[in-house]
Amino acid sequence: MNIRTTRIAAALAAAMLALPIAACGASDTGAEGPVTIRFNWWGSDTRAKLQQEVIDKFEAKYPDIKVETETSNYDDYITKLSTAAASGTLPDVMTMVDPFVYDYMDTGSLLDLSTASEQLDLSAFPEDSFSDVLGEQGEKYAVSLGSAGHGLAINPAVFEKYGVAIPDDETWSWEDFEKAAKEISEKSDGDAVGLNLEPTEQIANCWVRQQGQWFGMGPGGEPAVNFDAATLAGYLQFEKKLIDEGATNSPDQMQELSSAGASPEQSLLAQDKAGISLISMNQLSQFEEAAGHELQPVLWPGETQAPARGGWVKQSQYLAISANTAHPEAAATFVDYLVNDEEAGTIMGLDRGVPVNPNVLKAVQADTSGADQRFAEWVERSNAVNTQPFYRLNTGAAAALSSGAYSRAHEALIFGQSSPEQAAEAFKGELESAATN
Amino acid sequence: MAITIADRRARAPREPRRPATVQARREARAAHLFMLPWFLGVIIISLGPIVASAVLSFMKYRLVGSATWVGLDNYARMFSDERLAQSLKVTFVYVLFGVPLTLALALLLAVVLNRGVAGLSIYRSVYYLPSLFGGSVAVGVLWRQVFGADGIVNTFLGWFGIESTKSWVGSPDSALWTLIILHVWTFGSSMIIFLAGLRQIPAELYEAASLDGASAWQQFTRVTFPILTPIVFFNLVMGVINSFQNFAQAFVVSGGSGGPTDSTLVYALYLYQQAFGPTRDMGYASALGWLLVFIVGGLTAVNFALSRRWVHYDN
Amino acid sequence: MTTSTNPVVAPRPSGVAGIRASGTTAARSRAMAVLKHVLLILFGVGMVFPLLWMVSSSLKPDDQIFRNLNLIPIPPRWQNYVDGWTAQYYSFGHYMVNSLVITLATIVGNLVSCSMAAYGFTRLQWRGRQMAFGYMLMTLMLPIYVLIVPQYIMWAKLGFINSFVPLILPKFLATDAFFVFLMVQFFRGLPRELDEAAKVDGASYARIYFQVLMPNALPALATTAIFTFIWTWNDFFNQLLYLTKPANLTAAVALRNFADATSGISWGPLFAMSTLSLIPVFIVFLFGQRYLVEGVATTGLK
Repeated sequence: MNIRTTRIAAALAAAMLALPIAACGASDTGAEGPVTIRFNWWGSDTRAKLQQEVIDKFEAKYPDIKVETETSNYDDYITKLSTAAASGTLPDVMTMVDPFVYDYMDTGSLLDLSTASEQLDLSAFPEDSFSDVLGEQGEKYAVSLGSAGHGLAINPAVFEKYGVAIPDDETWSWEDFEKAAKEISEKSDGDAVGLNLEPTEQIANCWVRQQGQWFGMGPGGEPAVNFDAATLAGYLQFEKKLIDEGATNSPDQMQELSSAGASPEQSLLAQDKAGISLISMNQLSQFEEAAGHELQPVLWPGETQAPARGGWVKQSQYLAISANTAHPEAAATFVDYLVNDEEAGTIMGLDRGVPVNPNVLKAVQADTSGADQRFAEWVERSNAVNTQPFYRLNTGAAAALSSGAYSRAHEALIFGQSSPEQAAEAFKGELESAATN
Repeated sequence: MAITIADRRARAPREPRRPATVQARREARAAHLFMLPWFLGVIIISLGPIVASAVLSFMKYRLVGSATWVGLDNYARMFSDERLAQSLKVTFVYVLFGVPLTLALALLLAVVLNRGVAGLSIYRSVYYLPSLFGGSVAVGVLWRQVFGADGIVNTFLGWFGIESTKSWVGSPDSALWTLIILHVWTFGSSMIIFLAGLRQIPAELYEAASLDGASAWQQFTRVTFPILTPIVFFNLVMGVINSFQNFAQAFVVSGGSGGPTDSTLVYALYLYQQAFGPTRDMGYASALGWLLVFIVGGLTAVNFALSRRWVHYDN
Repeated sequence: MTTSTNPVVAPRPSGVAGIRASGTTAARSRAMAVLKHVLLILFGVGMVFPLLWMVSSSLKPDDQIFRNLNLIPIPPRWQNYVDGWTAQYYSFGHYMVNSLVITLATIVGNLVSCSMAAYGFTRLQWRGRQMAFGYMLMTLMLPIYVLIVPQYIMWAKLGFINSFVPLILPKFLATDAFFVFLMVQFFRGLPRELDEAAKVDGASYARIYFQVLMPNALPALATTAIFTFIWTWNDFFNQLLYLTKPANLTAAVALRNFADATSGISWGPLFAMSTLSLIPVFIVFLFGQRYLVEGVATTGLK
């Protein structure tokens, strides 16, 4: 019995001693010799291959810098990053997006990129591409990896099949929108719907912006939430009408699709069962692949009739450097390569959005075709008419929105548990109380 | 507590060979050695984080940035937290129906299979298959294929002339039930445990009982069930505890939201959202964790107290 | 070793385990058997159908997976398996090996440490035993998400992030309260007369553990081994946090990397690798079942 216990103890001791030697984590701090930086990003395996190619080219160009990568899917990425932040082991370079980037900005976890101007040249980037990631004194905490945005896409095959005219997307009104959607549902006899009911706040966002209001903060940060519940109620009323008229799929079907993660293959749009749908525009090529034919990105309805223009383009993700990095120069050099190098840009293509650096954009566009080109064109058209800036949300409100504030209010509405006014009030209330916490 | 009953029974037939103090010392030494790994585990692995989480429950901590003391605010907040109330409601329904259904099914099939059936090991494997899925991404997808608007259930109903395009996973009135069914679908692990327990019952007892003219039902109630009670108890306690902590299934089926309209927001999912969701407040999540300990601890204590009435140890 | 001296039933010659002849006519009992089989099979189909769907989806191209519910894809797209295998930095097999290493080590840890603790909780008297048992039960009830951050910080400070240590070491220290509790219940079901008899023969407490309890607890040990395997194999969350470098990832984490909502989901390869990932688990279960069955001889006790 003593022998056994001794054996166990010995095994434990051996394990505890041996394994730390194999463990490694922090980047090494060799003064001479290659420097190793850690780069974390999210994405799928397809993006991984492209990214690795870029990294290989970078390491060939800068043999003194080694890049270690860690990748995960979007949801896991946020979890891992925050636990790393809690233990003080953030990577050197990381991809970021709102809303969680605000947390990192607020707590000083990100490096002000203007302090790395020797290695990182931001001059080619338009000022408003930084609007989401500006600090209070104008510090730039991250640089855009590409712009994209949510927008409506039309399935021409569906319109054609049921003999419905495709509206002119530069002049159509919300009534035209409603009419087209209704027509498709009626003429297809239930096989297809006009509008794919949207579980997120994007369409509502456009409607509210058209009234000169927005979900984000007012100028200078006040008020924390800059819209009237009545304005939002107007949209919800409109949407409810569409549902009741049968112009959309049913609420429970919408719920099912959204819980499935809104992948292109499962979408009604790609299955030719919906005429109009909101999509994340940088996924256009995936939707077209799933559909087997072209889809048509369009501008928002009601733009010319409303007091202001509601459409917007924003940055789809950013690249940031940890404020506590042991190798700011190496990290900045790497970031500079990723966002300014034309070859790197062409390899990644439009995978993360339309490059904001005009030189990179030109190089990439020479190579694009098909869906990617249509995506880039949509961004261009949207930018051309995008007269209202995109105001960032208050940190707390952004978190609340991201954690389902709109979805819950919306679900209560469409499942008959609250009226449009109540739902709008509930949503606004949740954002406001989160903003003050 | 159950230990006391066993203690009392064990103390009776103590042999008088060695003097009590030597015996006690030897026993204590053995106890130290056998409990050593567990004690090390407590000290090194579990105690620190448990204390830390208790302390965190009095703080506001968003992982990024530092923690600030807020005293009892987190606990006070629980009383006005509507989503918490909703999640408690959902979870109680989930446990109330999920656990007994699962246990009954597991016990029934374990008994049937234990009787000896051709192809026993195949059945056993097949029934256990669903438990192998865990909280994988595939499960959510599969469940929508079954209970979705275009799913198997609706197709099945169509065969009987019932036209249905309702999405069972997407409707507030049925989503939780699809989750309960998912829970029951994974009854395999409880069944395995029952099977292992059934194997410990001596065949002689069945022989004797049948020779005494007992029917199958009587054999079950007089022989099988009494001896099986420690295992039933284990499955019951663990079933309750696990259902309260079960979050993966709700997560993949609802896409992480607990929807529609929070109808599938089981407690563990709500806690996860508070801990790692965008509003990320580890302090509040810790407080929720400790609330769960009290609730589940209370239920377990009730289980233990009631167990005196129906659980038999030591044959 | 002595046989059971159960006072309830007088010793009778042992017969065939389990089956007893019904007193009704042969035809009726055959019909019953058929009915039983039909029900069992139907039920089994219900269990298995979603799994069959997944396997069949693994052989379809992505755009077909959600469009048709056919079980047999024609032609089967084996390319999904190739794609899935090579999709990430390392082959999927590399990740499965990592999973295997962690899982096997965890099984050993659990079997040894949890049985030792269970022995201490059930057969040995010591001060504070009740409190310790209560503490152990409490650890079962506290959700891991609440503990994970303090634990992560602790391991980070010790420098063990991106190693297998945080995943394996705790298992050698009986931190899996579920299995401690499981074995406690099993040990409690074993009659103390066995212990007493051994003590009369002069056995030490260790001897009793090795020669009385453990052999009779084979079903519990098999259950522990099987469940540990399956749960560790599927435990993506701990592995996600503690294993960061691509070389150290496990199968469960690698599977999640197939599905990124923001950039696209490779359904075919995802299902293909999910199917592949199920195979070791299933094999373990098939193999381990025997020990669940054969754990105890027909007389019930050794």
